[in-house]
Amino acid sequence: MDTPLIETRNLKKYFKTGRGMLHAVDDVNFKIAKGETLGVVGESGCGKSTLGRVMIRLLDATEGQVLYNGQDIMKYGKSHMNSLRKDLQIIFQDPYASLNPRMSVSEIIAEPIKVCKVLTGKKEIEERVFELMKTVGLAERLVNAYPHELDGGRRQRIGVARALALNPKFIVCDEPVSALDVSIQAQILNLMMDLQEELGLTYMFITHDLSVVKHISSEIAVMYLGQCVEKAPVDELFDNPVHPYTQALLKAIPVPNLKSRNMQNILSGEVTSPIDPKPGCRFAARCPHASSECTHGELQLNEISPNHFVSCAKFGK
Amino acid sequence: MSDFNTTAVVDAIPVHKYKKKSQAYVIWRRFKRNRMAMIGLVLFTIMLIVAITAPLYIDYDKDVITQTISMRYQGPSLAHPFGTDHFGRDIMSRVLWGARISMFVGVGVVAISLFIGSILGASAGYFGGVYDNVIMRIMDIVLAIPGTMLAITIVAALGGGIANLLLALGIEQVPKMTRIVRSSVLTLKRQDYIEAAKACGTGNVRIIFKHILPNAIGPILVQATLTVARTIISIAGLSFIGLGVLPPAPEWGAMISEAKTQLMNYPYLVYAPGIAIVLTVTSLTLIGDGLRDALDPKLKN
Amino acid sequence: MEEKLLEIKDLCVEYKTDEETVYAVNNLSLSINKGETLGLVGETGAGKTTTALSIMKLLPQKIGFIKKGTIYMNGQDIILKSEEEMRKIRGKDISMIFQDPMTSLNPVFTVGEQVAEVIKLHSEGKSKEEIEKRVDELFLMVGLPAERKTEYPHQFSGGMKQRIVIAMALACEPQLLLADEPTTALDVTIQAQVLKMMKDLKDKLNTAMILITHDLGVVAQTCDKVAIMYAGEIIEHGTAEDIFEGNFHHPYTVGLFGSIPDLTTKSKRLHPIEGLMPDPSDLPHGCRFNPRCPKCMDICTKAEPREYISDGHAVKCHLFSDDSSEKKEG
Repeated sequence: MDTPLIETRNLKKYFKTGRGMLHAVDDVNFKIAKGETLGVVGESGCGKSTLGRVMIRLLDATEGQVLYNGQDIMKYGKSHMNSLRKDLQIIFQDPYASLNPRMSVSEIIAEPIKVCKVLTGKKEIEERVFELMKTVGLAERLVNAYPHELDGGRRQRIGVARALALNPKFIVCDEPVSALDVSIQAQILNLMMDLQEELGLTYMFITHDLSVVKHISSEIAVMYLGQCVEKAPVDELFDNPVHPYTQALLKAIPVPNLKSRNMQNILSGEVTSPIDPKPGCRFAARCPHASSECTHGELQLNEISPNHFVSCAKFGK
Repeated sequence: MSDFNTTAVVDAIPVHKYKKKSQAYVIWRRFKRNRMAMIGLVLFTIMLIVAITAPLYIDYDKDVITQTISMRYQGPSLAHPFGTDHFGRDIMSRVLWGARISMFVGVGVVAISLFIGSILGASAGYFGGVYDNVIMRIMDIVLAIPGTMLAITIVAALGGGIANLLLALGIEQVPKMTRIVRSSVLTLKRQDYIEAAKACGTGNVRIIFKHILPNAIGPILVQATLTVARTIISIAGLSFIGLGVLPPAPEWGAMISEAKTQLMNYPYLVYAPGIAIVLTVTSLTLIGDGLRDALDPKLKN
Repeated sequence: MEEKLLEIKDLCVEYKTDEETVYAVNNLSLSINKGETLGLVGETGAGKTTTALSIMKLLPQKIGFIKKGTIYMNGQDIILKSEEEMRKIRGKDISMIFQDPMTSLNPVFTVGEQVAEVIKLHSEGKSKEEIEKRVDELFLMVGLPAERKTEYPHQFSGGMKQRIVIAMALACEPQLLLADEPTTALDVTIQAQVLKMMKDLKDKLNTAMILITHDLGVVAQTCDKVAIMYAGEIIEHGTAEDIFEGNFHHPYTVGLFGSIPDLTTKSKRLHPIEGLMPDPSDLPHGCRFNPRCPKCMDICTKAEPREYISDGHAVKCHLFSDDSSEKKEG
């Protein structure tokens, strides 16, 4: 296998809190090849957003490595990291909070170009801004508009244009469509898929919505309390989910179809605290199949079929 | 995209119907539309011109400080539109000349506290941790010393004069400004757009000045306009104990405090300096409000 | 024939500000029978929440106005009621659940006190013990241990807070429950739990419910009847079977279904509705949907379509006008 574009090795990110260590990301390993999309799925508090921020080093890892083209970016000095930032970008969930309300559309898109001094001439920057606006489907007349004058979909397009401004190679998409209406959500998803094809981008697509990642991902990793519990190519995961949590997630999605009215076998309980987690499987407290063997020992991701990894004491051996 | 042919023709020289507008122009246009703010601006400009050009039509020695006891306590008349004070000096000349001192000190103090306070508050809030703690504890210490005491100390240490007075009153205001800026920064620094700026390698200084401070401008401007008014009053207090502007130099606050004893008999003594203070503060408040609205794109309509 | 609980006729609601008038709800009519669940579906700005607030008479004062129409609840027009009378109705006959469980509870009171408050307001003469007993009952009913009633809202997770809000809403066993996106802020597994609980409680108490949501999936799982809103109008309504399995639809409904990422197909691309929601202060002439409609005809930009009804399934679209002899597939 060629070197993946980006790879994590035993990545850990802990936060100190008053009540103990919060294990936001705990020993996560995966690789993303160039032009591919890894979908990271999980519920709130599973550490997926933290993972995204560590990937582009907006946060430093507690332990482990993030390899970009085979180089560990956690070891980079400040200036080296800054020159690399061009390649690694992020799109945020909330199109309201992620745009500076005091800046016009053109200023927001031009800001990364100015900061990184990719282009210097006023005229060139302006040209580039118009080009980017066209790429993401924003009308030229909006160049002087301010974020609050625009709807969520247009704002998210600005967010995409800003991320694209520096010609990145890898983009972390942190729930980019979950704050949008369904019809707009589909527009943005299509746009992102088109851009990926045209520009050869690599995505890490973070979301809580399995149905969204199904369309955009090549591979999916399901996270629960900081750990990856199952990872498989997209079709394999949907056709053959193995981990009880993945199965529960799939079952919980309300399907717009009367035939699948199903209110049985709903996962009970709530996500437990990520602070100083107990040994063993972190899902055991909610798992319908849990038994004593689940509550001790460290679990490993086992490859049960080619590229399909599961971390469960009962299934996937 | 749809009219491919036409774009191909003009491809060499891309023509954009919509030009990028400069920020300053947009802000000025929005400010202009606010009538109250414009009234404030005109008022303040007139007073500024009066203050600057005062030496052209007022002879300081003759009109402002020469005492003519025989002329004392004259009510408003054609010769003395605002009357004369207890030393027989023309109040109008003194008020006009006083604008030079009061406005200079008032605005100067705000400038000093705004400059120091913004930098300290923004950096303390942004970087946090030990640095934040050290700065804010120093501010607490300054805040704990009564303003007049602080001013006395500084003036006593450095000597009198307008420059030291500015410094003394400015330092007194710094902690308040620092606290206000810091609290705004604390809420703003967690916004996603700050993180987006970091993600493309924006330096801390640029983040503070370009992304954080412009969003914190509202409370800062309100505090600044209030400070001008408060400062003009505190100079009066300092003058009273002989530390501020020394007599016979005219200063609005000092004029009011001199007139205090005769207020029942000759109320007109305080009209002119009082109105001058009110006008200055009002015009600055109006400008401040207008500026805040003009700088906030959300209020544009 | 079942008994009609709520009937709205030709409701028009406007928001007036200094600069503009926003036409939030336009000639909306709907009805709901006792014990029924109606799904009110639409995107942001479609006027769903405004409709609910009109029923509660909680439109923002001095900005929101009911311009026209009647809202009959048990045969009485709510619009004619005074504020005093409304206060007795709210929480007792009609309750509302808001989207955000984080902000709908007061952080300085214990959750038990907040639930008790609702009971106190609507049942004079109940002793302290009776009220406490009722609170315990309600906690149990929504699946929370009664001991936790002495805790404060911040000690609960989002899903549990929403359970408490539901307990408050159901405290006086209202006849009608307005649920405004009750599960949007929750995680999927928690959403499933809360939806199931709401459905069970509704069946047990025979409460009618208007479920406001943008998620057709949630509607399919819970609702008997569905109304789809666009730009302040109901453009299609019928039973759940009509909407999800019927053979003719409004083009907007078709677009909505096309936008939903589908778990069952393997196709990559989605089929969104082009364009954006119209500005509610400047609505298009004729059919409100015409600028985005793939099947837009001449008449659509000129005349407002009327409702075409077949077996209770109504569609507001010129495609189904009497001239075109046969009903087209959506």
